[in-house]
Amino acid sequence: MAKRRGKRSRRQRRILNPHRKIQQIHREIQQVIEGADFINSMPDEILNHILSFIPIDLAIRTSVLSRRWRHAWCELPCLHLRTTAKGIDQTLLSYRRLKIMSFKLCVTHEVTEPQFNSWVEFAMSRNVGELSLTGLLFCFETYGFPDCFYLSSSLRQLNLVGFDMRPGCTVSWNFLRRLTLSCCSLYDESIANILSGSPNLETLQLFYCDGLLKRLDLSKSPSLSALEIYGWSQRSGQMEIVAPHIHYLNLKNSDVGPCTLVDVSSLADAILRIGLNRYRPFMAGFQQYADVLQTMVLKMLAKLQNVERLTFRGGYLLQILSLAMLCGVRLPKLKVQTLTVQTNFARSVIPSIARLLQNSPGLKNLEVHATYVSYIEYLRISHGLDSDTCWRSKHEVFPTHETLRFMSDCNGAKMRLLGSFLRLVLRNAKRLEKIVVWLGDSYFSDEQMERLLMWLGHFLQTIMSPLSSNDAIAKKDFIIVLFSSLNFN
Amino acid sequence: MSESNKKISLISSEGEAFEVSEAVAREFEIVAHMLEDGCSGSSIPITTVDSNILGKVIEYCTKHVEVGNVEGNSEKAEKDLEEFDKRFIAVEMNTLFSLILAANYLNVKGLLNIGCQKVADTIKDMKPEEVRSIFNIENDYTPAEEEVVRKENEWAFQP
Repeated sequence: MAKRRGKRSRRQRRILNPHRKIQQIHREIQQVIEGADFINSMPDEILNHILSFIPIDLAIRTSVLSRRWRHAWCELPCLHLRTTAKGIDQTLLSYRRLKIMSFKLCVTHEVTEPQFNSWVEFAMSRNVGELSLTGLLFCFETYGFPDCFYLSSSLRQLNLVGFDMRPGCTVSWNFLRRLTLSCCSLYDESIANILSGSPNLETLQLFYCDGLLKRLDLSKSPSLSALEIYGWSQRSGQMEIVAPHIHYLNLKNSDVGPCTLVDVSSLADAILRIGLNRYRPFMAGFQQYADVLQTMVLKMLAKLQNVERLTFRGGYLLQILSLAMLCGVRLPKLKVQTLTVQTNFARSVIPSIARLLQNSPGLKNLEVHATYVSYIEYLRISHGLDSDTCWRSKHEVFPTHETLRFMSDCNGAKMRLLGSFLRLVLRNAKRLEKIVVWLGDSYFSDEQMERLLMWLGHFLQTIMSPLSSNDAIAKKDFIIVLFSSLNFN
Repeated sequence: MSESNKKISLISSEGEAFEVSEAVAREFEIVAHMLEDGCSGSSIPITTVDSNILGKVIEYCTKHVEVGNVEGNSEKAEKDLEEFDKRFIAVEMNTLFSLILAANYLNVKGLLNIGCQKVADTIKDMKPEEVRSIFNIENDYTPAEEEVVRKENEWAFQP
């Protein structure tokens, strides 16, 4: 053993040589140990690369292995720290790299303003490319970033959680591509400053932000093509979105401070959902609340007439549209080619799906994510209208939400329901090339799935002729039904 | 596979020739650069990599080129490739390190990544003492020095 060890350390001192022959004796016993010869002779860049796959705290632990390893972690390109202020201070003291690729900071305990400033200054002085800062909400209410934060020619991605955004200087983020603000307070003048200082911004994400922003004007940001807004809670009414250049919009509109789409004329791909406040109708009154929702949904829809891809997440939108139809509202014509809906097959959503299909003559792809959707029961009280009751005569095959709930264990009934739904789809969308149904909330065993597929094949033959081709691919808990170039009378 | 059916011989450190298509050879960035620099010879010596390892690296690149060329059903192809990578990298430590060094020298990024990831996964959940013993790293700190290093970034050592 002693002899081997001597030999090994000679090897360690040698400059690396990848094709060194390794004796094949005692292979099974030696396999782990022989590998050891190499890790010590790895060039620093490889040690670095290995450490880059490990969370920073575990990478830092390797500093006690030996002198060789002491500073190995200090050159890592990404520094993702989630610890106390003291821990962060310690780490930054040893960290050596001059250009930080990605710096994420989450303080877990109390921090002072000068401390936080020093970290921000550190990140900016090391030419950070991707910066993510979290954890101020519980520390001090109105923290202002030092000016150096707003002046960077290295920053490409910025992710901030819980800040009051009021730049004290003219922002200059020339190379910023993606800006994500979560739980931040935003104001008209500060957003204008940020946008004009970020001419290359491509993606803007605002998650659960609030503030006094009345107008999000992206008209002077021609490269900004993607906008995502979730749960805007406006302290003072609505926010207008003027975004004539965006191609992609992912909007979760809230009933509290709804966003109004003023100009989204280049929009091609939209994902929409609305968030409801359970207690709001009791405060606002049912009638008023229902009107607010209806107006909001119809206004959104009116601005989406030119989109090619449209996605409705959550069942509320469809329920509200069905109710609007009961009130005599006409839904707009759409140019959508791919429609994705997340829904169940309850009677209160079916009419709006049918109407959307009828109003989308260019529709080629329909994707349906069958899932549990809660029912806005209180809405029906408002107009004295009950979707479930009112639509009975026209859509009797579809169950009420109540009945649907009891069907969860009955696969036979679900199969029939799927059949009714497909029949409805094919009747209303004449140009459809592909339907994808994800039976996400149902469990079908392999055997049941096979029966379902056989039944589906048979069903399709009975409702359509001629059927040029159909492919059905089954997986355990969902089914993808793919039709290509359908012709039916 | 590649537009031209040109074959290239890669010569290992032992002088063994491995004939591969140009597309596969180009997966070795170092070879791709040679070809672009007008090195038109049909055999390229890879003097720092032995036959065993070179054969493996070629196996890796061939698979990745093949899968990259198949059209459609990319999700399944990706999964297959993932499976392949997983099996491919499940080797003894010495082979793993040789592969990493070869991938680094030949500049085969995908292989370098999965190799380093594998070592990282091995080290990740181990105590320093275990890492030392498995990789035979000699602790050249005095106990006092080691204590200083631990203190330097105390938070990282807390469970």
